[in-house]
Amino acid sequence: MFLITLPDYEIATRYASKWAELTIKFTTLKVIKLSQKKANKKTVSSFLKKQPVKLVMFNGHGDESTIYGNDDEVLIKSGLNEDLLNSKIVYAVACSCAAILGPSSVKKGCKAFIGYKRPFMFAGWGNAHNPILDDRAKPFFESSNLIVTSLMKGCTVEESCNKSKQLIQNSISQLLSSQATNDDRMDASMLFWNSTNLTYSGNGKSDIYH
Amino acid sequence: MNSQNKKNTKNQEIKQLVLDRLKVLSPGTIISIGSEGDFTRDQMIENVEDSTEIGELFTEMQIEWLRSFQKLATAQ
Repeated sequence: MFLITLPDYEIATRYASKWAELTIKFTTLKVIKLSQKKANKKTVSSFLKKQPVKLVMFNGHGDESTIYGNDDEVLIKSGLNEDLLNSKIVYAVACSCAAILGPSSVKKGCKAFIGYKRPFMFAGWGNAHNPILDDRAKPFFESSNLIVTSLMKGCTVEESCNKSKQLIQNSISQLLSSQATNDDRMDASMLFWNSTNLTYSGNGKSDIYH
Repeated sequence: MNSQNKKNTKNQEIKQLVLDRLKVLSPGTIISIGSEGDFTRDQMIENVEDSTEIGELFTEMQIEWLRSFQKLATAQ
């Protein structure tokens, strides 16, 4: 099973969730899709406890020890309930939580926790009505989604992270072409930041099927 | 010039460099810094000018980027 949280209460969560939702069509796993108000602690905890979830994608805000759901409700917090991630592979598009929550989840049995050590950044045009149509945001979220779609195809955690970093490198190269605008150069620097801070804790050789 | 003055001058130069890069962005640009929020170009300029936490984080990101070029140049 694939569990995905899709909070949506301001621009950043709307962008992250609308783009992340695109990953669903790439999986043959049964999907537990927790959109907007369903991205709450009670519901997430219940599914993680009772269902054989193999892969989790959290979208939303975070800090070094916490992942938040809709309206900034705490979903997973280091020292509180990270044991819910036991035996799962997790990817969190949430700021900084790979710093503390990642390693502490692995100590409690999580197979691997992929995330960002520092804030996840992106640039766009603020198209709140349809973030998917915002081409400027595309390289940020396409490279993020590639982690999940690679895991769905059977890649290991390490391979999936490397694919994402390679896609970011390709995007940076394109953005820095001779036709580059000032916007392109700025976006390249933000992509580089995300790539630098993308990391994982746990078993890099693990995949969701074994 | 003592070391503190040198450091202040360097910080001012870095800040100006980041501001110069921000000022040439399209005005409709939105920069999202995770849980810190979403900022227009002009809001980010203010944050960098005022050396707020957001401005400092954005400056750190820019320094990392510029350092990556320095490393590349050194390696070649």
